[in-house]
Amino acid sequence: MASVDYVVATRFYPGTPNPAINKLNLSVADGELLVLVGPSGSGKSTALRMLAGLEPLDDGQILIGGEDVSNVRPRERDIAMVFQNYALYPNLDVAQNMGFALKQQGVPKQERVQRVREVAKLLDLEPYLGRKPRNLSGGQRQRVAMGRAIVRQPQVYLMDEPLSNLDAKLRVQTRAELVELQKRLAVTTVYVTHDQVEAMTMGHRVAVLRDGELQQVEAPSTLYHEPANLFVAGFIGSPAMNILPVSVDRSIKVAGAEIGIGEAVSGERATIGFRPETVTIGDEGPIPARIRLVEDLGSEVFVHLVIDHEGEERRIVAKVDPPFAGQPDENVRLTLRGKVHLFDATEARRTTVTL
Amino acid sequence: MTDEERRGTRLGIGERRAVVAGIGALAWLVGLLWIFPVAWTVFTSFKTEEDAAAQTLHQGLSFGRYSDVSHSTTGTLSLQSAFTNSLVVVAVSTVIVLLLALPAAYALAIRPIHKWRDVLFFFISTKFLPVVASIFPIYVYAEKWNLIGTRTVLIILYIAINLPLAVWMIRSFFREVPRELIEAAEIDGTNLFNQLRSVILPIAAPGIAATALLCVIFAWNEYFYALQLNFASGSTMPQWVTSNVSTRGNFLAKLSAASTIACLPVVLAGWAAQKRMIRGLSMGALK
Amino acid sequence: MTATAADATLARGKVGDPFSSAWRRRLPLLPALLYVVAITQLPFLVSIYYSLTNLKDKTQSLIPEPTKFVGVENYRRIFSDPFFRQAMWTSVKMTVLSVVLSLIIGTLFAILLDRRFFGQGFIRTLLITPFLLMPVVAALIWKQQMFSSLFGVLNKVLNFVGFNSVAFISDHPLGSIVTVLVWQWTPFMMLIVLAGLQSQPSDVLEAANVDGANGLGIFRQLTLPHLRPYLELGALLGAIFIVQAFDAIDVMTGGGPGSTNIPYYVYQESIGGGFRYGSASAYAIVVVIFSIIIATFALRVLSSLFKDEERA
Repeated sequence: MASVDYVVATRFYPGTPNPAINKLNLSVADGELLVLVGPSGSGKSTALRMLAGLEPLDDGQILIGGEDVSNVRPRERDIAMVFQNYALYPNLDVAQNMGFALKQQGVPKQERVQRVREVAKLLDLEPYLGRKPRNLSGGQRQRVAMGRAIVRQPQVYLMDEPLSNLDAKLRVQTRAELVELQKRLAVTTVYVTHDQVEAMTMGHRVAVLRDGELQQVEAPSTLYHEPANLFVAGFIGSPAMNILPVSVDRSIKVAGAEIGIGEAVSGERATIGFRPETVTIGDEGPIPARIRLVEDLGSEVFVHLVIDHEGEERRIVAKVDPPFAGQPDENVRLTLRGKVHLFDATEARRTTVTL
Repeated sequence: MTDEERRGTRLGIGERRAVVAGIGALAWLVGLLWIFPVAWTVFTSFKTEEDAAAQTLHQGLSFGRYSDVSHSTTGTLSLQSAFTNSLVVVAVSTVIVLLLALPAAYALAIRPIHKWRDVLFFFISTKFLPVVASIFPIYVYAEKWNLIGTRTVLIILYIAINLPLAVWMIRSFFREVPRELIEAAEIDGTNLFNQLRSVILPIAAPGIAATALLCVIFAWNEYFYALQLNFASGSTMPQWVTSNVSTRGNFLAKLSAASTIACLPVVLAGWAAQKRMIRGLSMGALK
Repeated sequence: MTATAADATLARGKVGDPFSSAWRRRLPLLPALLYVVAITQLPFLVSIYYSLTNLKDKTQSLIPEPTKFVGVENYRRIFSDPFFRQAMWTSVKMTVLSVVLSLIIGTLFAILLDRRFFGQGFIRTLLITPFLLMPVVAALIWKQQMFSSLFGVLNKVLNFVGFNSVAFISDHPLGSIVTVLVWQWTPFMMLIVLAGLQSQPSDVLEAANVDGANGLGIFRQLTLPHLRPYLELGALLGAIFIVQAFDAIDVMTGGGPGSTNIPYYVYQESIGGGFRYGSASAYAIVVVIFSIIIATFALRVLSSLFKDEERA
């Protein structure tokens, strides 16, 4: 068990001057589950592989437990990794897969069998110990991959999108099991995913990456309520935050209606963002809108609307509690109640107003 | 370590630069040693006979031996006729092999017959029978039908030699064609010929080219049948080479020149189509 | 992933109906199948007939003998023929040595070539070349340029370092031939093994690395098992071709003792000088029977390869 530190860590795409990870500074506390999240190409997998030692560093350092491991081989870093496609050893059965690392370390057979059996029990894999990977289902393979990592009792777990190949229902179930497991084992874990729902539900803290740069690293609720910039605001939360370009005076106008924003960045073009739950639909309110589509999920209703903002048609999503009686093409009025964020021309968040 | 130095390491960092460079150097050493006999022979082909015999280089290099070898003496096999014979035999036999193998592979891969495994094994098993076992009956009947010394008899035999391999390899390439494409073509009502032409062949084309190359290699280099079924004056390139092995004295340089000429077409073809042949050998045999 | 839906479309046509689905499926196969049967099986049947006679080339013997039916006489003589047994033994040695050596060296070359280095394509081109040469040329190169006592390179080098010349071909006929065969067939094995190495998913290798295995450990525990079907295939295909080796023997040794394999022995017995076609045919038939036995064994190897294909 140990902490993990990225110190100005940099990696260029081979042969180019373009960074895959650019001067990353990130610290993971001992026992923490940190999620690295971002769209494709954001560098999250690269960052994980740098920690594993599968990608070299072009600059900076990586520390595990306070020691500089930047030039240490993967097998000497005392880490365990769960791969996206599980990477199980095809010619070995489940027990041998899980015991592989222990065998390399020279752990005597008795102890090896014992430890493998314990972990197999933990993950409900006991009936499959003699099977080869090709005779297992996707979910079972995933658990074997996890078991292989757990048996090792390493300093750090690395997980590269371990749930993305599971079907939706299994994914949700396994997600919860994983969080519980990590809590129980209390081992530092770095977890990569592109799914922001996974990120929000799993991590103690979530690090958002974009084009190799760290955007923000905070607890999930902080990211949700206090995004550092436009990208984080738009990436976290589903359905996505409503974003509108505005020009700033003492107040801003949304679809012609003035919204008092108080202190503001005057004279510039800016952007505001507000989450679907801040949009209230009724017969009265400052913002005129037309309903496009109603998505009734039973427990909540998402209403897709169109407003005329600064001369252009803009789409807005509102989240309301059922029942909702509105129909497509109906004209309604919107009121904003809740947090409205203001982002300046550099996309950084400048201020948030609660209406 | 810079990026260039790390590139090509498969196990991440920690592979010492020395090890990586060492393996590269070893590969170079091995490659050069392995090609040495060939390189030395080509080198010899430019020497004079005295130099060749003594393994020295006193009289310089020239194309002299090549022109010696190209001029035929009456009664012996000429380069022109041997080359033409080889060319015709190889081209015709390869084309016919493909014409026969493509539908056969279709019947074993795309709309397979019930016993495809047995048929495939039968094809391969014909290669287990030694060529020498059947040479005499073949000779007898070839003589009966006035086929000795003709290109026809060689064409007929080379087709039989290459057909099993071609069927096996092309079948595996056909298996690579996505099922959905074929089903879409069937729904559209196309028959076998059109299916082959518009859907299957474009995808399998590189593999078929690799198969054809292998057939060409084996047919061009074939010695036994060509030797037994031809007169000394009417055969193919392999026999032309051995006709330059003289018992009257050693004409090492001349023989080297002859060898180089004879092997050059196939070697060049193999070099050019290398990647395809690799893909062909691995996919055709393994998938 | 190859579609195994092919099996789902296996025909269930009515037997006997020429236009039924089953026969329409068989039709494209027939030209190739019939051709192969005609050209390979018919001469074989004729050989069986000859093997039961005492057929000889009449022009070669002083006392002309009429051709008559002798039943299994030829076969009985085979098993008391010491030269035949020696040829069998030489065949086995030659084939096994050549296949095993070229497989081992080919695997080593494949490992060398499996990573990027400067000039990788060029080196691979060099290594492939011997396979592209005519077998007669390959044999000639080694006989004249390398092994020759008079002007062979190897002897020149040996002399240079102070050793005596070695008469490679006369003193070590089998070794010389195996050398040429291995030289030519190693590239073939190398390509097959290379395909095997490159088909290993890289994340499995990375996982093994993270789990603590070093290069050698990974090779022994993961790569070799993965390579097994490829090695088996290489051995099988290589053996099929190498067991029939003829050109090298004809060129290098002319079939002296210790270098005559079965094909060459049969050749010597028939049109190569013996002209005893009857008994030569009997030899050939015996060899064919052996081949079929070995082929049945090979069938098991092949079916396991086919089975893997089904599962893929």
